[in-house]
Amino acid sequence: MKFSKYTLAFLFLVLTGCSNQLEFSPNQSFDEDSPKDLNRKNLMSLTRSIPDDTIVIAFVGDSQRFYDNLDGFVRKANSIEEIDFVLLAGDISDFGLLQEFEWVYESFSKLNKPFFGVVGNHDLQAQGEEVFRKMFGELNESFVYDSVKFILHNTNSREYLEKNVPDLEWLENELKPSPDVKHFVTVSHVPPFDNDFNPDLVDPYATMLRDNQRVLTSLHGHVHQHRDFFPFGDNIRYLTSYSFDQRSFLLLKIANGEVFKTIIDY
Amino acid sequence: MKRRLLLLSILFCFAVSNSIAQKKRDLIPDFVVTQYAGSIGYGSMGVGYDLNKRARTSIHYGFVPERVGGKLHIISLKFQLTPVAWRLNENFQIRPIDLGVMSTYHFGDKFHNRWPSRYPDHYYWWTSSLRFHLLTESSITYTLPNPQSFVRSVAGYIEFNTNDLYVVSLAQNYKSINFFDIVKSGVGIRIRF
Repeated sequence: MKFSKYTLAFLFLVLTGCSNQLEFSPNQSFDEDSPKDLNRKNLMSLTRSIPDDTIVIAFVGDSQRFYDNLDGFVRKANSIEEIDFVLLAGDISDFGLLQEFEWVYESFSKLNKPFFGVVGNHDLQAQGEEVFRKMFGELNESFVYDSVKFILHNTNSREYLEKNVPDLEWLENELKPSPDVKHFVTVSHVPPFDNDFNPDLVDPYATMLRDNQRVLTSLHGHVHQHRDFFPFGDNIRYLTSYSFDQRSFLLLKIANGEVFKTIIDY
Repeated sequence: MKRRLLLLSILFCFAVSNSIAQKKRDLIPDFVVTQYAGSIGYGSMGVGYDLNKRARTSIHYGFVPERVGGKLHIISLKFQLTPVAWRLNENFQIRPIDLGVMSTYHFGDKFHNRWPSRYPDHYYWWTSSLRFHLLTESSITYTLPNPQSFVRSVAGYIEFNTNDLYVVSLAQNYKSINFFDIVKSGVGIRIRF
C-alpha cells in the first residue's frame, strides 16, 4: 500500500516535470518553440496590405525587462485601426537571453499588425546576436513600403572591438536612389548623438544623412526618453522612442514627404 | 580572468575531493552523472562526492551543439542536500525533493565575467559567463542486492532549476510572467560506486 501511494506521488511529480520546458542553456540561441525570421514574415504580411499614401507607424523601443507593460501597449496599438506596422527600436531583451526574447514575442504576437525588430546593445549580450538573427533576421536590413524605404541597422558601436559598426558602406549603398523609393527613414538603436556611438563615425554618419535629400527622419531607441530635435543643426530630424516603463509610444504618420507625430499613452 | 575562474573551479574540486579522499584514502569519485538538458548542456557528464549521507557535490561538463542552439561549452558545480528519503523496500528508495545550488560557467568570447575595457564601469551590472541557479531534484534509486558489486546503486532523476537573471525578470514582472516560465528541467542518471 505504502509503495503504491509513494509511487503515484512520484510519478505525478515526474509527469508534471516532463511537461515543463527542457533547457540546454539559458544562452541557447533557439529552441523548439522559438519563432524564426520574424522580420521577413512580418514583411510578407505587410506587403499584403494596400498602401494608401499615408504610412502610420507605432514606434517603440527598449522593451527590456518591462514585460508587465507589453500587453498594455499591444492592446492600445490594436485599438488604433490606422496603424500599418510597429517598429521596435532595439533592446528587445535585457541580458540577450532567448527566454527574454520569447517573453516579448509572447506579447507582440498578439499584435494585429506586422512588427519589425531592430537590434539593440543589450540584445548583443552573450548569445543574443545569434538569438536575434534567428528570431528576427539580419542586423542590417531594409524594406520598402508605400515608396518609403525603411533602413533598419546596427549602430551599437560599443559592443564591437572593430570599428565597422555602424557599417557606413552598407548604409551608403542602401541610401542610393532607386525608382521605387521616394524617401528614406533610418531606424537604429543607438543614436549618433549618444556616447555609445563610435565617435569617429558620428560625423560621417550625420553627413551621409544630411547630404541625402530624401531622408525624412532618423529613428532611435536607447536613451529611454522621447526626444524630437535636430542635434547636428542640419535638416535631419532625430526622434527617440519612449521605453516601455514610460507607458507611452509615438504614432508617426508619414505623408507627402512629411512626418507627423502623436504621443499615445497606454 | 577566465583562466582564474577555471583554476578556482578546479581548486574547489580538488579541495572537496581531497577532504573526502583523506577519509576514504582514494581519489575515486563516489558517483558519476550523465544528464540531458537542465541548463548545463544538451548533454553533460559529471563526477561527484558524497559529503555525508545527505549532502553531495559534483562537477559537470556540458555541451550544446550548434544544431540545438549552440555551440556552447559549460562547466557547472552543484551542491545538493537530501532533506527527505523514502525507503520503499530493500532495493528502492525515493528522494522526493532534494534541494541544491549550482553555478554555471559558459566559455567563449561572447561571455564575460569582467566586462572589457571598452565599457565604462558598471555599464552592465551582471556577468554573462557566470550564472547562479537554484535546484530541486526528485529521484528514484535502485540499490544492487550484492553489496560487493562495483556499481552500488543507480538513480534516475528529474531536476528543476532557475537562475539569477530569470528570478530578477520574474520579480519585476510578476503580473505578466508565469512562474513556470522560469523553471527549466533536465533529467539524468547517477551511478554510485
